[in-house]
Amino acid sequence: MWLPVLGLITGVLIGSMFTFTIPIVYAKYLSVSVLAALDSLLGSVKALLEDSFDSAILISGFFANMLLAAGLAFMGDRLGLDLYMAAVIALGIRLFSNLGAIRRDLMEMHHTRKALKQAKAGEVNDETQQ
Amino acid sequence: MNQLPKNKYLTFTLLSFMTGLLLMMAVHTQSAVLKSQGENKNKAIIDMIESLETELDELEQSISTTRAEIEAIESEQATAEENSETMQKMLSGLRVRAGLTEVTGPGIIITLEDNETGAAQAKAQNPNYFVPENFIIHDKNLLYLVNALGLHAEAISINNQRIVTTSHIRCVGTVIMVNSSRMAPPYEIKAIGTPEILEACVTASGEYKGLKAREMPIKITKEEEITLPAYTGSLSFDHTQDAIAK
Repeated sequence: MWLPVLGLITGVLIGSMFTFTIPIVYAKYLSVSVLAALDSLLGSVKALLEDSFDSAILISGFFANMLLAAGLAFMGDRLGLDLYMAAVIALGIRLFSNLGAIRRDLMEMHHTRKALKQAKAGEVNDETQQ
Repeated sequence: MNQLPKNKYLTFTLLSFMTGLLLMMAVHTQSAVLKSQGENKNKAIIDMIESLETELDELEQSISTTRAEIEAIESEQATAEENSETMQKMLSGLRVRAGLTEVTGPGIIITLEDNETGAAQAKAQNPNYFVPENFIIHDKNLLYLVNALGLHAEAISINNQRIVTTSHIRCVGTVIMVNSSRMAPPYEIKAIGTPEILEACVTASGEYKGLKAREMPIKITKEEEITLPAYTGSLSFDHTQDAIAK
């Protein structure tokens, strides 16, 4: 469960340590791609919680979203439109909605566990009573 | 959840790692972008300042050059004015020396007349030997007197005819011609200079002595101020050229 978080932290640490940079011209595309990647990660967290996780979907979504976001930004630059804003807004909204879903799932899980515990406790009590 | 296959977590972890890497990459790149933007901005401003400074320098230089030019022109003008002034002065001085202007100054007046009384006496005493030429003033008398004055007189005139470089004193029949204009007695030779010296020049000359000996009425008067007329004839220099200028 905590492995992906560890992976993220490791990535951040390694990235901080080695300070890779790409040409300044592509900075915007990279930023938008990172946003897409984060969205994909949050989406997969949600999928994990909802038991609908599929690594194929994650991988394809991860790269497809990144490419689309970067592609939009690139196209926007070519067309003179701030098209990357579309990606930013869409991904931002999705991030919030995913976070909301995750929150709700976690709450649900918490309640279910509580209920299960109580049920278990009840069963135990029944057994002792018996 | 615990039942999820390991490879799912692996994929997720890998992608998370990648995301973290990309995130930091983006952060670093963005900071580089900001830095470069700042640099660009600063650089643009610095460039502008530098170019303005060079422009300022150029303009200051051009100002000083223009000032120097103005000064040069002014001084040139001043010298030109000075030159023309000195030239004017020189010209007027030369005109005075050339005798083209009326001049005044101290000097002497020599008055000569035909010896009419002597002629009359001689005629009465011995008419057969009377030679009228001995009792009149000749051109040579005037010429020698003028020559006697020449060294010390600054300006000479005979009966309102100014003696200049081209002047001549000649005898034409019964009249004396000075500057091609006829003279009639009494002859009045005016000379500007130191009156005493001029007088001495005249009295020491053989001509004066000869005239005195012949009892010709000759009179020298020293004057504080006499006025001589300007030469009114022509002074043509058609063939003479300045050898130095040429």
